Amino acid sequence: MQGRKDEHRHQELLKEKKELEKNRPHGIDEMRRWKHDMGKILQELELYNK
Amino acid sequence: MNPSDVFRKRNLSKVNFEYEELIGRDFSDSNMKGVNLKNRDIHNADLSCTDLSEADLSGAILFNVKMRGADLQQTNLSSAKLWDADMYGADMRGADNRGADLFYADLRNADLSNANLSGINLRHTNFDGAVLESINFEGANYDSHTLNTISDESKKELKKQGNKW
Repeated sequence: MQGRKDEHRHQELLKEKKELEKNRPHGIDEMRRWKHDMGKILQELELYNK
Repeated sequence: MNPSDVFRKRNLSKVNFEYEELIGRDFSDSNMKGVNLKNRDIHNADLSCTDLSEADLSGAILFNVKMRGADLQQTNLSSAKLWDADMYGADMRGADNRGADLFYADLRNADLSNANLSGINLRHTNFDGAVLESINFEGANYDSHTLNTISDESKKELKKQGNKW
């Protein structure tokens, strides 16, 4: 059950990452937010690479 | 003629950019050798195939810039914010990148021989096909994605000198 939940979250994160990659902002404040949000996703994704 | 074409394919190496608005400008194919753009905001600019060798871009805001094939030999990019920058095939030999932020930058096929990458943020930076000879990676931040894009030899160096996120 835990494994399935983890995989579900993993897929969710990959989807969110793809969404952010598709929606790159151009303003400085929006870009800071983009970087922050992407950083959080990557940080969580790192857990799946261990 | 597009207003942004004013800076394209020009010799701008002697231009004083102090009072110029640079965000989103098209400087592609221009000669900007040795220019002083320290701490300037140049995000979204097009610097593709531009000669920026020996230029001072330290502390500059360069996110989303296009620097494909740019000449960045001996360029000072220390503390520059290069998030999501397109630096595909750039010549960065001997560039000073200390403390720069290359989060999500594309450095595929770039030449970074003898570049200083100490204290740099390399999270999700793509080095696929890049030349990474004699690099200083001391204190560089990286993640598993970065590692997956570099050779085994460079991987060893980055792991030894840098910090995994």
